[in-house]
Amino acid sequence: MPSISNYKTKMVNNCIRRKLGIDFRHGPEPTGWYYLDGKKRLRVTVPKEHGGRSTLSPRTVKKVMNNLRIDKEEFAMLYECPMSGKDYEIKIRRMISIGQV
Amino acid sequence: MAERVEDSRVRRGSSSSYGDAIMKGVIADLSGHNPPAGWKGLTDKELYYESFRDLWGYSVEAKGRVERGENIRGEIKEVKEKVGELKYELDNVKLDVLTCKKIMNNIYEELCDRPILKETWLYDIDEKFKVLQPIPIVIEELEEEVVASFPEIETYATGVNEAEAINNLKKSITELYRDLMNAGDNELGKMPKIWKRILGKLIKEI
Repeated sequence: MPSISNYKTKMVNNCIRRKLGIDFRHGPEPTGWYYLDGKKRLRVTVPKEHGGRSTLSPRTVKKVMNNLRIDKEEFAMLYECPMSGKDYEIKIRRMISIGQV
Repeated sequence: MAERVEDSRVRRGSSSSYGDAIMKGVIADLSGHNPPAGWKGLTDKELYYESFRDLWGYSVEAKGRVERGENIRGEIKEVKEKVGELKYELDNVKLDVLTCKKIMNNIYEELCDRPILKETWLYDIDEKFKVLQPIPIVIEELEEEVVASFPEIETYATGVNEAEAINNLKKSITELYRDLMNAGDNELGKMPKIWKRILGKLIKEI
């Protein structure tokens, strides 16, 4: 599992876009919606790189995790590939069923 | 010599005893040899007791040694068991140390990343929007960036300084407002509906 300070911004962005099908809008901060069953469920922001830094700060990683409703381990799985878009969908469906999303 | 043995047997009156039989054998063995140096002419009885005492003494000593050996073996077994237990405990301690290291690393990361927190209000958001109520936001100053967030609607933005982060947050809030207002309630999940309600009370597009 990568350390929380070692997530590359571009990789996180690509990973979320590719796996979760989130289309980031190009504004001051790339932001996109996660849709499920035709409904907007979650909104995710993956900040741009600042000051030549190619990795996300731990604080920002936590915010992305909060946006996606996943914990450290799940985020690592999403980043490193074991977690597919379908796995994520199952997790969110479970959260919807208990009224958390 | 044989006569003396016969006499002693008669004197004791136990011709068939086991001790006599041994004694007889001992004396028979000795009969063909010369007495050893320092021989002071022991009687049969004295010789009998002398030999028996020696044999008994050896036997007691041997028995003692065997017992001691068994005790030592028992103690070694106990020590081995204790070593096994200690190994198990040591493994547990190692696991605990690893867990502690992990926790320490997490705490270290948390501390290193601990931002300077500030709370403030947004009174103006955009020229096309009217702020109905001041918007509470949180500013987190990190080493290389500043994060401004509006936790109630899970929106945040970053910047190299506070001003940039706040401006980006304002844009993010207005984008979210438009996204939510342009969508019908049937297109929104639970959380976006809540955000829509909150934003509707805080800002209004002119």
